[in-house]
Amino acid sequence: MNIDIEISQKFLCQKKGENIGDCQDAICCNLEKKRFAVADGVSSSFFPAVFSRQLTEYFCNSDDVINLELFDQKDNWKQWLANVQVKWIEVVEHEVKQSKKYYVRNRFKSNDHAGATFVGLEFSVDDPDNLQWNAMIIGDSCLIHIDFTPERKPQVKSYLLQQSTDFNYTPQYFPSRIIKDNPYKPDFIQGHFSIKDRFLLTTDAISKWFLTAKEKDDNRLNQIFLLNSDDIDTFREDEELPLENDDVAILGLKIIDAKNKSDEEVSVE
Amino acid sequence: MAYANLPIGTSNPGLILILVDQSYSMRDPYENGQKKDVATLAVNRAIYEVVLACQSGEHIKDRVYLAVIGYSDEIRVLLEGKISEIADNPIEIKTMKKKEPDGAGGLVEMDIEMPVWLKPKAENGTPMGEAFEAAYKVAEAWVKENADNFPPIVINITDGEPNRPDHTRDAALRLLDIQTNDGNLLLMNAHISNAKAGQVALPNDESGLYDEYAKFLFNISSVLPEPLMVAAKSSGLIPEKDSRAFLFNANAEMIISLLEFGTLKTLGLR
Repeated sequence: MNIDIEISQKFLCQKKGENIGDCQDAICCNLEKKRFAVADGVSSSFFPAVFSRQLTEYFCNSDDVINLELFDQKDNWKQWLANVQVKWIEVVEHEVKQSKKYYVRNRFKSNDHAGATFVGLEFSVDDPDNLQWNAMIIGDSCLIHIDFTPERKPQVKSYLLQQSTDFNYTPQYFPSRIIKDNPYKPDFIQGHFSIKDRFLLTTDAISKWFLTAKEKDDNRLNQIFLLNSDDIDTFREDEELPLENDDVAILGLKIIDAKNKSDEEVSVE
Repeated sequence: MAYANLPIGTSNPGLILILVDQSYSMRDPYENGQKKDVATLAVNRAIYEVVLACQSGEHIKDRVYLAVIGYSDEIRVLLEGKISEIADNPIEIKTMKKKEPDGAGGLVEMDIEMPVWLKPKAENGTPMGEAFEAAYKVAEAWVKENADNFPPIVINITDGEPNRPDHTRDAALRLLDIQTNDGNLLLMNAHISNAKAGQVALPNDESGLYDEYAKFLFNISSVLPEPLMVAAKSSGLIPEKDSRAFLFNANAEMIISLLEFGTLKTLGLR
């Protein structure tokens, strides 16, 4: 057996009526390091798209990332975040210097910041008898784990939000500047996984849609595994189970035995 | 459920209409200046906050269509357009000293470039009814193009009685009839005065209003729909069931709260 991670879906889609360049969501994958991340920039914050991209890229690609199991100890995650904040300031400072707009200069002078929700996921496959995942999550972007342990029904677990009514307009987020007495802190989640399990990293619109479909026992739930960016507007226009008009990021991962690949259809009952 | 097409966005923008009384009595002293100065400052600030709420990086997303109508000797549409156009075309940018957070829990004074779209003015009478008619034209045209969007919000800032109360009431009621598929237009009236007593905010019953003019404004103010109650509270207002969007004898702080509620919070911009 050769445990591996395969990307089954990966796309961004902007809000209806906007351009893809306006999308504040970000996705990053590093198959070699087995790290994956999505982030959702707070749209009214300051240069959120820059920040969400930097968060996901730094999580996935940097050699600075410490083992996630240790991340919440001694607030290691704060140093990790501080490194991303430095990068954000560098980029935005450059943009501000080039800008002719008073509102851009004002917000920078006022130490305004970006905000982003975040899901970072890392797999540990060294011990095939103890396959473990670790995640760092803040806000209403979600990690969905479909556990296909044999001899039982597929189990759907959602982190951090568990039900569709948990979503609101004021999620917690990572700020792009150090904020004194910042009350927001990520959660650190761990779990085990096995071959054929699926993971979805999604930003809030899709997460909410998925949980609503699950609560209604709607059999369209399984369509999430086949979604691509061309399908999003159809989902938004559905009268019974509409997808909210918001930026969308979906990253779907399959746990496979690289020696014995199969293309089974996914069904969550 | 009505008033649900939120938050607004570039594909479902909102309309904000601000009516500003520019009659002679707006020269009266008020707070640290004159009523016209305080009203103008509050409106300029509210527009700037909407600009910031629609900002994405270097760009302003057209989530809002905004108009400002002044009424004094005549009705003037002082400002009208997409928020991106308004943001990039103030009539003046003033450099002002402001204390801003330094990121470490303290404040530091710095030069901020403050845009100005309105200048203070106070002349002649109070043709409020004609202002409502002008607002009707703007709102009606917008609704034809945006029939499914969150309905228009009209915020009227005034310090005195209208020239023609009956005509004004009829014009207001006609304005209140404008609707999209998401609900009726919301008309919010803010009366400013120096009276130390008799301040009223979001009343749900006219029986507590001692002034006939207060009753007049109460009856042409929208009842706050239930979905907007949380937004009102987050602006520091205290709504109750069937509260009307109406302030009487309001001070500057109350005016700013109503503008924040009517522009940012109601539309889900913040």
